Amino acid sequence: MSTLWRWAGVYLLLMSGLTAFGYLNQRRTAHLEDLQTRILDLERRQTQLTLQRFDLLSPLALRQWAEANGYTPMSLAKWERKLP
Amino acid sequence: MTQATLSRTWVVSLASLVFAGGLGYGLYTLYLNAPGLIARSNNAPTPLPVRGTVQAADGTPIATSTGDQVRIHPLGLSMSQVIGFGERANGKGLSGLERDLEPTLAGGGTVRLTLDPTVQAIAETALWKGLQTSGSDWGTALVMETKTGKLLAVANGPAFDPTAKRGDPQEDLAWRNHAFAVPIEPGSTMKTLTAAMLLQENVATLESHVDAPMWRKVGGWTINDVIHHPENLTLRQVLEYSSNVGISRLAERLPRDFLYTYMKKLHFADSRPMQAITVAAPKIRPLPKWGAIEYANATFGQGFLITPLHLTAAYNALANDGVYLPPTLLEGQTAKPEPIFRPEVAQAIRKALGDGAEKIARNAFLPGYYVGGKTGTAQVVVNGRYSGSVFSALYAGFFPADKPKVTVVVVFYHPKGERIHGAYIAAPVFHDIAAGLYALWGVPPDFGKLESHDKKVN
Repeated sequence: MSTLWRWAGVYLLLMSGLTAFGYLNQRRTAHLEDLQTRILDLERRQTQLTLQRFDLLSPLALRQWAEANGYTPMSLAKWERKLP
Repeated sequence: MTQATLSRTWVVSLASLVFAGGLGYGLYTLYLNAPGLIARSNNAPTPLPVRGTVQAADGTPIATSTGDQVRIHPLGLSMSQVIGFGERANGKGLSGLERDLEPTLAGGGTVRLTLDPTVQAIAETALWKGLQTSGSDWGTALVMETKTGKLLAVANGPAFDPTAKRGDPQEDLAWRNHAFAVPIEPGSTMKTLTAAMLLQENVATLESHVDAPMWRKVGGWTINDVIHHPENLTLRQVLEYSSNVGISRLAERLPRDFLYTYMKKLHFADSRPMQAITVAAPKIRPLPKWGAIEYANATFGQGFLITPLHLTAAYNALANDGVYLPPTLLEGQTAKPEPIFRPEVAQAIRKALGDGAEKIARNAFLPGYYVGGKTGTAQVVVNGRYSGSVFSALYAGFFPADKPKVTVVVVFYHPKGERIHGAYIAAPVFHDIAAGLYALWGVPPDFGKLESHDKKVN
C-alpha cells in the first residue's frame, strides 16, 4: 500500500509542477500579448505625433503660418536705396 | 494473498497509465501554447516587409509605412503628386514614384530623392496662389539645380491629398504629376532656344536686324505678333517683344534640319529623359513631314509637344553655359553632361534675358536681383484644332542670370479671364519663387549691381 501512496505522491507532485508551469506559461503569454498591444499603441501614438509634428513644422506649414502672420521674405522687404 | 497482489498490480498499472496520460496531455498543451518553444513548428505566414520609405534630400520622410502597413505622408500635401499613391489594401503602387519604384519599395527599400522640402514648399506656395488667381485647370512649377541637373522642386496644383477619398481619376486631375505626365506646346519660351541656335551657328548676333511686320504669310497660313513693336527689330528685341514673325524670319537663316537636330540634342524627342522615372513621350513630327509652316511654328514653340520637365532641362542647358544635364530625381544618379551651345552663346542669351527682364515680363522682375527668363503663351489643340479659348501660360528662366544657381519653369493650363498670357499668369509665380529662394539663400538685394547692369544696357 505504501508503494501506492508513494506513486500517488509522485503523481501529485508532478501534476502540481505541471499546473504551476502551465499557469506561468499562461501568465507569460498574457504578458506578451499585453506588451504587443502596448507596442502597437505606442507605434500608433508615434505615427500620430510624427504627423502632428510635420503638420505644425513642415516647411509648407511654416510658410503658410509666416504668410498668415504677415512675415515678409527678406528679398521682398523694403530696403533703403543709397543716395548718390 | 495471490488475489491481493494481483489487485495492487492492477491499481498501480492503472494509476501509472492515468499519470502518463495526464502528463502527456499537459506536455502536449504546453507544446501547443508555449510561445518560446524551439521545437514547435511555425505555421504562421511570414509577415510581408514593411513598405519602404521615400525620403526627401534632407532625409525627411515623404511617404513611409507604419508597422501595420498603413502608408502615411508626413509632409501632407507637399510633393504628393510626385510620390503618387498605391492600393489601399496592399500598398501596391498605382501612380507616380509609388508605381515607378514598386520593386524597391515593396521589398522594404528606402529611396532618397533630390527634392528639397523647403524649395518645394516655396514653389508650391507660389504655384497654388497663382492657380487661385488665374483660375487655371492645373499648374506646375519645376526648380532644377543648374550645376547638377537635380530637381529641387516639382510642384503641382491643385493640391492633392493622398489620404482623402479619391474621385474619378479621369475627372479630378489633382493626383497627376503634370510636370512629367502632360506634354504641352512650349510657346514663346522656345524663342530663347531658337536664338541660341542662331548664335551657335554664327548666322545672327543679338544685334542682327530683321524686318518684322505684325504679321506674315507662310505656306497659306498667317503668323501674327501680339505685342505692338517697330517694323525692324534686332534679335534682342525679338525676344523682348516676343515676335513670332521676327524669330521665324531669322530662323530661316538656318538649314531646316538644324532646328530639328538641335531639338533632338535638347532631348525634345526623348521619351526617357530621366532614368527610372516615367515621363510622357514628346510629340514631334518627323523631319520629312516638316513644311514651311511647321518649321516657322517650331521656331516659336508651336506644333510640337514636350513636358514641362523637357523644357526645364533645355533651359538649364542655357543656365549651365550650354551644357545639357539630364534631369535627376533620385539621389545618387549621375548625369552625363552633353555640350550643346558654346559658353559664350549661353552667356549672351542669359545676359539678354537678364538685362531685358523688366521689358520681357515686369511681373517676373525682382528689384535688386538679376533674374532672367522668357514668357510663353501657347494655343492648345482641342478636338484636333487650335482652340480660341484654351491656352497654356508659361515662364521659363533662371537666376542669378549671370551665374545661375537654379532654372525655374512655371506652366499654367487653361487660365481663365482676360489676361491669360504667360507674362500675367506664370511670371508672378516665377517672381515669388525667386523671392523665396533668394530669402532662403540669405542674399540681400543689390541695387548697385542692378544699376551697373542698367548702365551696360543703355
